[in-house]
Amino acid sequence: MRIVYEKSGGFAGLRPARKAIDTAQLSPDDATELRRLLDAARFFDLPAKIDQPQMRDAFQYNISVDTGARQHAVSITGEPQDPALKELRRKLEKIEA
Amino acid sequence: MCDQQKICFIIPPHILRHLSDSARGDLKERIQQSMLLSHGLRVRRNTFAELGLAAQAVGELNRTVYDAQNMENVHGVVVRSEGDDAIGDPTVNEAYDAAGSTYDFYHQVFARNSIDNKGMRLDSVVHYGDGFDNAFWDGREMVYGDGDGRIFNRFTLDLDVIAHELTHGVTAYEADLAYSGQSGALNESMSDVFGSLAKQWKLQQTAKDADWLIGASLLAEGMHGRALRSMAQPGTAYDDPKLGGRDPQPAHMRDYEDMTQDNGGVHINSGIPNRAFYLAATKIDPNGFAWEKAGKIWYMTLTTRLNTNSTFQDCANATYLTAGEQFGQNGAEQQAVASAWSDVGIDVDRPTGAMIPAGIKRPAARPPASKSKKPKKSAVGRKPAARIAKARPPMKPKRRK
Repeated sequence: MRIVYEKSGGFAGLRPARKAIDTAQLSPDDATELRRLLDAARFFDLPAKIDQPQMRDAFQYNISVDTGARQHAVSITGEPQDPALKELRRKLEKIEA
Repeated sequence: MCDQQKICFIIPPHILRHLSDSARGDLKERIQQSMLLSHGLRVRRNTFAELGLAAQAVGELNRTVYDAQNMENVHGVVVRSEGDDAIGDPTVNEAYDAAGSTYDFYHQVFARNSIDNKGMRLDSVVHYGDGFDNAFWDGREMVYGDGDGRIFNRFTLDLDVIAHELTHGVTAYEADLAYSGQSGALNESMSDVFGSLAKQWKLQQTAKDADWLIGASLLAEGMHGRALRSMAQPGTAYDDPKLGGRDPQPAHMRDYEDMTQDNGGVHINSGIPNRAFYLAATKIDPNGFAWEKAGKIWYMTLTTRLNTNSTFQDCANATYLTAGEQFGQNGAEQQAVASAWSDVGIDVDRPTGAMIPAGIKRPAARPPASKSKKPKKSAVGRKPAARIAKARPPMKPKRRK
């Protein structure tokens, strides 16, 4: 499974940061944890855009997942409200690609 | 009905609204005052909006600072209210003081009474999150992180940053520039323009003496950079691997970046209109105060001529028209504005002759985003659309890059 995680925007508006993750290259614990979080967040059922329309200077997070059988991409404004999606985002932020 | 999203009144809101609506003069004011002032609890602004009270001026300046106590929510505890003495926490005092300076700047320079021009409360949330590297406007309040201390310092250090966030509120009540692509970059640029002007005004600096930097105190010690953005020289504010390399802002349309991230590069491409403003101000008079002429042209443009879908070209044309209207057709100011935009790769469309009211904005090219949560325009101090301006020809959207 391949996951691409991007962080952009924020007040600082830095050059977007991109992280490409291949779960085959991760430790078994990390790979299992990512699968669990993708399931918990029902990632493949999420809309393509999760916006908070009044927010300005929030970070934008783009997460795309390709399992081989399925592909899906979600763009999120600000920290996700959903706890599982928030945990997934934080895991992706921390993980060493 | 007493969850965190809704405020609980002993008297239901619809009854208070009825009382407030049906009362007259002094009584009406007292009902509203008591509603606004009697709560020791955390009061939600959307509840006031529902009650139609958010826009009621209850004094000229009404600041409250909340401490999120390093949690990620905007329901902090009140730590300083309007008129309170400074407290021991510099972050709180910075947010309070800079909100006041920004209010004073808008009030004294543009005769604007707060974000909505009707005395809206200025709420700030500090210590948001744990080492949070950002500041944002959430549609109701300004929210500041403490920074991680390694890359970023706390986000309350610079007046221009705080005025930037507050200006997002002003823009939402005026042109309501959609937050993506060119209109989004204009939204960002307006926040930088008035952010920098608030600082210049506070320091009484001429255009030539101002640093034109955004966030000059935000980079932690040891970082390679002067600030997060330079309006005078976009793309030169920093160069540090911890910030992803070099400042990515373009200074000219030929370097405009179409991108999917950052809402279509709103914090990136804002470098182009930022530099146009800097050039206009310094061409008009380097020894003058930028807020007096260039600032007035941009403010009038934001509040009377731009709309949700405005492009850079629209903004260039609108500032050109406004400059002629405010300071004379073909005058030095109008020529400076045209020259400034030309220097960043945008040639203004010169108007041809027919007359249309300035207050009529171009119809939206696409349906505006859902307005359900937006402040009602009727609650906003719309200016009468009485002024007349020369019409411009239909806009030819230019292909960018």
